[in-house]
Amino acid sequence: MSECGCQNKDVLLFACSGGSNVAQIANDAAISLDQLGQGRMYCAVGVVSKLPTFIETANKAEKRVIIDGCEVQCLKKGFEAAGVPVDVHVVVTDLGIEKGHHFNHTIDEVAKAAGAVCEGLKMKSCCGSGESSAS
Amino acid sequence: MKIQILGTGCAKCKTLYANTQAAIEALGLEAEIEKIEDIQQIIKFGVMTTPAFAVDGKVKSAGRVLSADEIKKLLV
Repeated sequence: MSECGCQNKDVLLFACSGGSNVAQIANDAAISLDQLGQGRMYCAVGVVSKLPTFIETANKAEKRVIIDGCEVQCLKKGFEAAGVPVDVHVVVTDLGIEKGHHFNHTIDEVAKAAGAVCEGLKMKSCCGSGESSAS
Repeated sequence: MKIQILGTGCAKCKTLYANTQAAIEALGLEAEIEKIEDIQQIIKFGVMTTPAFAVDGKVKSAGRVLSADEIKKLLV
């Protein structure tokens, strides 16, 4: 299996999938990382809705990655409210990608978001504990 | 000619690299083999399954370990 900083064995990926380009970049980045063996995409809505089985699965993971689309950071707030820790947090707009109500984003933008997740996971493996912001 | 092997260091990627070297030697081609291990670069190729095999930036195969014979057919 391919690896992002040797941390991919039990990584759960949660992505925003809202109504904007940056949200769909987040979603597509999570799909790409899942397909390339960097982690397993999992249902973010299940966690932020506080469904017990989803929270249990998220808590059991070795690492939890959340990819928010914009500065509103709905996922991060939802995870905090659900009491689920976050290991790597990426915000797509923090990567210099402007939010808009359109869906014609590019593969380069998706790659940039996925790359930021990989950097965050590598940082995590080097630095040990605490949340890693890869933005 | 530049041949690119896309994958981040898994055993299948290494086998594909070795098979590519064997195919090039058998054909007597002058070709550079580039390993692309960075996820960001791999995604930019539009590849969603590894290992992948590209020639001069164009993906010819993804998700399979091509044999040396299969690679030869792609290169001639």
